Amino acid sequence: MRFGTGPSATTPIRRGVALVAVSGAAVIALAIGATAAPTGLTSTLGAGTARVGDCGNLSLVRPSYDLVSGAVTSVTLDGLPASCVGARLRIALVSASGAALATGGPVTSTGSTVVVTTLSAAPAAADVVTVHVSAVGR
Amino acid sequence: MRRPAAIGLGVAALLLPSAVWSAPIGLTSSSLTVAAVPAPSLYAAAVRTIDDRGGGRGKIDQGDSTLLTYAGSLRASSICSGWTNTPGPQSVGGLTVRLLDGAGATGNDVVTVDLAPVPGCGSGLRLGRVDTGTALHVTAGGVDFTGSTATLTWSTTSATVALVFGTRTAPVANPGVATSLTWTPEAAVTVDTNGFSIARGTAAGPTAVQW
Repeated sequence: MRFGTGPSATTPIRRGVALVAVSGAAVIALAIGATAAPTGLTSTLGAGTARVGDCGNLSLVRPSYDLVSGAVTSVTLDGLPASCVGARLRIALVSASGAALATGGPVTSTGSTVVVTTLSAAPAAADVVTVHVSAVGR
Repeated sequence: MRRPAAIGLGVAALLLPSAVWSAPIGLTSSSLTVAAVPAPSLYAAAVRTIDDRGGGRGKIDQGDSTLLTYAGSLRASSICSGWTNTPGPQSVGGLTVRLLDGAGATGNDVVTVDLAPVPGCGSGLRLGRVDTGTALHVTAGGVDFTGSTATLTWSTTSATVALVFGTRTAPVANPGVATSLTWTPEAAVTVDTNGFSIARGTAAGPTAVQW
C-alpha cells in the first residue's frame, strides 16, 4: 500500500477539501447576501447599533375596568403621556403567577385616556394583579 | 453518492440566511415603551337587586334594594362623610333616590341618589348612577323615592352599599323584561390607601328581572 492512497488516509483529505469548499461558498454567499442592496437603490450597507427610544413614562398609567358579572370586558388607561399620542398600545392582564390572563389591543393612543375593548379573554377582575402596557412607534 | 448531496444541502442552508438578510428591511417602529402597573386598587365590582316582594318582581317599590359592591380598598368617607373604615354596618337615612326618565346613554331609565346633604352625609351620598337597562320603568317623567336609606357593610375584600327605596312620589311601571344593570360609581370615591379616585369603570350585573 502506498502512503496516502488508502481509504483510511484519503478520506480525511477529501473531507477537508469539501469543508474548505463549503466554507468558502458560505462566506461568499454571506458576503453577497450582506452586501445586496435592500431596496435596490442603495449601493452600500453599513452596520451599527441604534437605540430604540421610548415615548414617555407609562408607569404612571392607571387602569380601570368595565366588568360584566365580575369579568373584565374592557380596560381604560388614564394618565397616558401626551408624547405617546400616535403610539399603538397593547395591554396584558397578568395574574399573581405571572400568567397573561388576557391581552388587548392594539389601540392607537389619541390622548391621555384610551379604552381597550378588544380583549382576548374576560378574566375575573379579582385574578388580575398587574396590567402590562406597551406602546410601540409614534 | 450521498456526499455531494450533503454538501449541496449545506451550501443551501448557508445561503438561506443570506437571502433573508438581504431582503428589504423595514424599520417601522421609532420607539418602544413598556411598563407594568398595578391593577386597580378599587373598582365597581357588582350590582344587583333584591325584591322585598311588596310590589311584585320587576317593579321598583318601597323596600326594594339595590346592592352596589366595591372591590378593593375603599375610603368610606368618600361616599358619605360620616362613614368610617371601621367594622360593622353604617347607615344613613333621609335620602332621596331618583328614578330618572330616559337619562341613560341609550335612553334607559336611571337610578341615582340626590346629592343634597343629609344628616351624617354632609356632602350627600355619592353612589353614582345605575342604568336600569330599560326605558319602561317610567315614561312620563322621573319619580323620587323619599325617605330612602343606605347601609354600608364590609367583607374581607369588598364593601357593599345597600340602597333601600323609600316612598315613591308617583306611580312606576313594571317593565316585565329581563335586563342587565350597569353601575357607574361616582368618580369622587377614593382608594383608602392612596387617596386616588376610583376614576372610571363600570360594573354590569347578570341579565334578569330586576327589583
